[in-house]
Formats: sequence, C-alpha cells, structure tokens
Amino acid sequence: MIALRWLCAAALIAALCTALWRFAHRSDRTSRTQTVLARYVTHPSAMIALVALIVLYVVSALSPWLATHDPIEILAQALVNHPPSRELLFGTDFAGRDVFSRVLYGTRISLTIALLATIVSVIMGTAYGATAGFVGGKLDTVMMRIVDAFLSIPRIVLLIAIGTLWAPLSITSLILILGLTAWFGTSRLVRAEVLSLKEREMVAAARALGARDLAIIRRYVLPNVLSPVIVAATLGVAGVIVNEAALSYLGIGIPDPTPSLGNIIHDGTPYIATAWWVALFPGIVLVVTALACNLAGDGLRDAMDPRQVDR
Amino acid sequence: MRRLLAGRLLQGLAVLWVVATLTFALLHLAPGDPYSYQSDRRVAPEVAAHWRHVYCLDRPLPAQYACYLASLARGDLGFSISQSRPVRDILIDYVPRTLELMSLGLLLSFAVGIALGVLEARRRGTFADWGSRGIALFFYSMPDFWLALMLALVFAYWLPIFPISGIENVIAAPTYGWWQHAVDHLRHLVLPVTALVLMTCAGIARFQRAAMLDAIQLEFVVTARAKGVSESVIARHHVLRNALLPIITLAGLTLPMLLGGAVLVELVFSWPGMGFITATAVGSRDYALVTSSVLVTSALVVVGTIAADLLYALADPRVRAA
Repeated sequence: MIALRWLCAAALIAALCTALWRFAHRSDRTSRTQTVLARYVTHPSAMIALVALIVLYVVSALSPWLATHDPIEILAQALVNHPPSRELLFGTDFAGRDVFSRVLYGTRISLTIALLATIVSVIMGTAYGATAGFVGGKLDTVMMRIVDAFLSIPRIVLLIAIGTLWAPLSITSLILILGLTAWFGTSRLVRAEVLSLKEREMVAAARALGARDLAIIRRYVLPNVLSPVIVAATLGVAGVIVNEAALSYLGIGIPDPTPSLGNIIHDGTPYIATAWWVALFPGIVLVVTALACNLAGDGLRDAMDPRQVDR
Repeated sequence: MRRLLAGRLLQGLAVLWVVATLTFALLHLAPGDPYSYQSDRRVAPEVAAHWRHVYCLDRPLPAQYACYLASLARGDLGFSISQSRPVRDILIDYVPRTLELMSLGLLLSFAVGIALGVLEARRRGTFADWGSRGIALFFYSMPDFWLALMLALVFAYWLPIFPISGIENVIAAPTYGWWQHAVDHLRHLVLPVTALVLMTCAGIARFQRAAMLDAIQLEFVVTARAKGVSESVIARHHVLRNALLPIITLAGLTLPMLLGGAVLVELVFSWPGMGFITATAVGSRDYALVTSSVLVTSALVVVGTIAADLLYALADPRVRAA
C-alpha cells in the first residue's frame, strides 16, 4: 500500500521534471525566463540539483501520506534503538519512534522553515540594500557600518544568544529569527548593484520625466537586481537549513516531540556509538538539501550571467 | 601605512561599539535580565540584587547603557550565574583553547585550500578539477556539527584511532612525560581540526581557483609563455604570486565562519573552548556568558580582519606606498 503511494509520488516527480524539460526546450525562446532556463538545463550538475530539490519538496509535501508510521508515536518498548530493517527502514530512536517517518516529517518542517526564513531575509536584505544604495550619503555609511557589525558576529553565535534569551521559541519566531539574521550579505549585494544602476541613463531619463524615487526603484532598479538576489536566495536556503538544524541540535530550535532534521540528530547523539542510524539519516538529507541548493545556486548564476561562466 | 592602521583601528572600534549596543539591546529586550532569572533557584535573591546593583540594572535605561559601555571598556563582561564567577575569568580559561583550534584550522585550511585551488586551476576542465571541486562542495554543504559527529563515529568508535573528546587522556595523563603529553594533545586535536578544515577549505579553494584563472589571463603570463618559460615556473612565479594577494582578504572573511563552526565542533568533541562554554550556557540560560561570547567572537573577527588588511598592505607595494 505504502509502496504504491511512493510509486505515485515518483510518477508525480517524473511528470514535473518532464514538464520542466519541455518548457526549457521550447523552440520559441522569447522570454528571458526561458533563455535562462534553457541555459540552466545544459548545466549537468545544476540539473541534478534541481531534480534533487523537486524530489525533496514533493516527498516532504506528501510526507503525511508517504510515512510508514506516526512520527511521534512510541512503537513499543522492545523497539528502542532498533537497527534499520525492512519494516523500519531507518530504525528507531531512543524512545522507540520510527526514524524514517520522523525524517520525512522533519524534512517537511525544516524545508518550510528554510524557505520562509529565506523569503524574510531576501525581502529585508533587498529593502535595506536598496535604501542604502539609493539614498546614499551619510545614511548609507551608517547603514553599512551596522551591516559590518552584524557580519563580524558569527551567525550561529548570534542565533545561540537570541535563542537563549528567548528560550522556548515558537516556529514563527524561529522563522523570523533565522530570516532576520541571514540578510546581511544580500543587502551588501543589492546595495552594490543599486549604486551602479543609479548612474545609468535610464534612471536619469526617468527622473527627467518626473518619476518619483519609489517608482524608479520599482520600475528600473528592482528588476535589475533580481538575478543576483535569486542566486543569493538559493544559496541562502542552504545556509538557513543548516543553521536551523544547528539550533535544533542545541535544543533551542524546534522543541522535542515535533521532528526536525536537527533535533533528530540531537536525539541520536548520545547513542551514536550503538544507534548510529538515528543521527546518520537526517544528516544525509541535510547534506543532500544543502548540496542541491548550492549547486542550483551556482547553476543559476551561470545561467543568468553568461559572462561569469566557469567561475 | 600608519594612517591606514589608525583608520582601520577606528573602524574596528566603531564596529565593536555597534555590536556592544546590539548586545545591550538584546539584553534589554529579552524577558528578565541577566540576574533576575527566577527559575534558577541556586541564585539567592540577595545575590541577584547585588549584581543588579553592580551592573546598574536598577537604574534608568540611559544610565544602564552608559554603565554597560563603561564596564565593557574596563574589560568587565558581567558575572556568570551558572558558574558563579566573573565572565572574564571564564573566558581567560577557555578562549586560548579556541584560539589554538582556530589558528591550526585556519593555517591548515588555507594550506589545503590554496593547494587545491592551484591544482584545479592548472588542471581546469579535467576530471581532477571536477572531482576536487565536487568533493570540496560536498564537505562545504555539510552541517558542521554533523560532520564532526560522523568523524567521531568513524574514527573514534568504529575505528578507534583517535580519542573521542577532551584535550588529553585524563586517566593516563599524570603518568606521561612531556613528549607523551604533546603526542596525546595532538591526537586529541586531529578530529576537531579535520572537521574545521574540511568545512572551510572548499571556499578557499574556489576563491584561489578563480584568482588563478584571473591571473593566468594577464599579459605578463602570455609574455612569459612566449619566451618559453616552463608551465610550472609560470604557475609558481607569475600566477600564484599574484593570485595569493586576494586570498589574504579572504582570511579575514573566513574567520566568522571558522569561529562559528568551532562552536559546534567544540561541543561535539567536548573541546573546552569558548564555543563549548557558549553552547553549554544555553541550557542554564546564562545571559551574561552568552552575550559576552557574541562580543568576544566579533572582537576576534574584527582583530582578524584588521590583521588581514595590514598583511595585504604589506604584501602589495601599491597599497604600501599609498
């Protein structure tokens, strides 16, 4: 029964990949999106990464339907730290919960948090960077010194401090905190881009025609900073997912019965010598996710900026 | 040169001031204050009241801020409730261990990263280039704590080659001579340093590869090649020397990452450094200790960046003259 569901999921993934492939290979390349996609699909490692991301997102979206057990149900006292078997694919943890189902649900939570936090950080970074770059002058200096200060704090140390001070974090505040500590790099990027865009003729022309600052930013500046921001966001997901895992690993992220990739590893750590499977499998999912994001980000950068190929 | 140094020092101080303001804001916004944490029953109310008075927490906000900055300027970082001693004394005990781990990690990851980058650039497009970049990116994508955990699993539990945790063999150490101590200590360093090197060398290799590919296109390389200079001499004398310059700046940028990585790596290997003490302060909600580690790590990063800038100025005659 479960096997059948997995087959359905596989079919869905295959259908999605084929649709994407078809779209990228349509002969009438008119839109910029299509050109970028067409260039992206010729990049083998980026393609593998994209397929991996599709698999991860589809499987985690369907996790309640694909899981073999309830992720927080304690199966039986006899099944504590049970090694992987046909019935329990990834074994069980110290409380006798099915690690496979926990990893499925945990992937869903971790991916959701990473995605939402990245959206927060992208919005924040773009707004901040665009303001600093566009307004310039003293405000720019002050704003950028603040970013310098934030960048000089190792992100995980800052997260630990915030997590400790507001100890039981809800998922919403976790998303906000992860997002609000991840935008510094993006804001620098956007600022640099805006500084050069500001000097272009199109902006001067728009200003001569009487366009307001906000309109100029919206019409001429933001569309042009989009590609570096998309690349930064893709790479950012990898960073956020690892940081969320680290927080949960330290016990200040997602609280216990709810699985997240980090707290499953946390549960497995004391028993690492005997029950290695508890910490191993969620870690593999983390590595695959982060690797896929990094490869996809590199591929996107190459596809969006043909000058930068092979860097 | 002297003006450059003065300018960078001032900038560094400004950054530290912003960080101090930030930690003050965090402390102020957080529920409770460092010495009013109610559920910690080990702290008697009179003791808490004493420390609140010492650190001006019973005064209005502007006075608190001034008092906070003043005590930081004196090097007083507060009082750790979980360890019942001043945070400064704790840090004096633990920071050197972190510095030891970090400097070894930094040195080795630059050695490995530069070597990999040079190799990749020279064999550009070949299997060696692809393979090395792939493997490096694989380790770069790994969560640091998980990498450390897996290293411990493979090289300490499954193949008991290296010790699992700590800085020395506590049971046998008293009987050791000085060289046995050194060997024992080195063996304890292997796994944590390996974890740090594996996770940072990918970025360095990537940067070095790009810098090499930039330098290869310069005119004097073409000239050297036209004059018949051998490829390995060109790589060493013409390309590498120019490609090493930008990498100095990278040293300053790698520091936050390495320090952050060290936190969790230290926790996994129970390495008694600053990261370890910070991670364990989470459970006891030791406000003063946690915020001090924010300040101290960023101070380390600032010092590192200034050092990198000065090194750059020393290495590049164009900057030195300016």
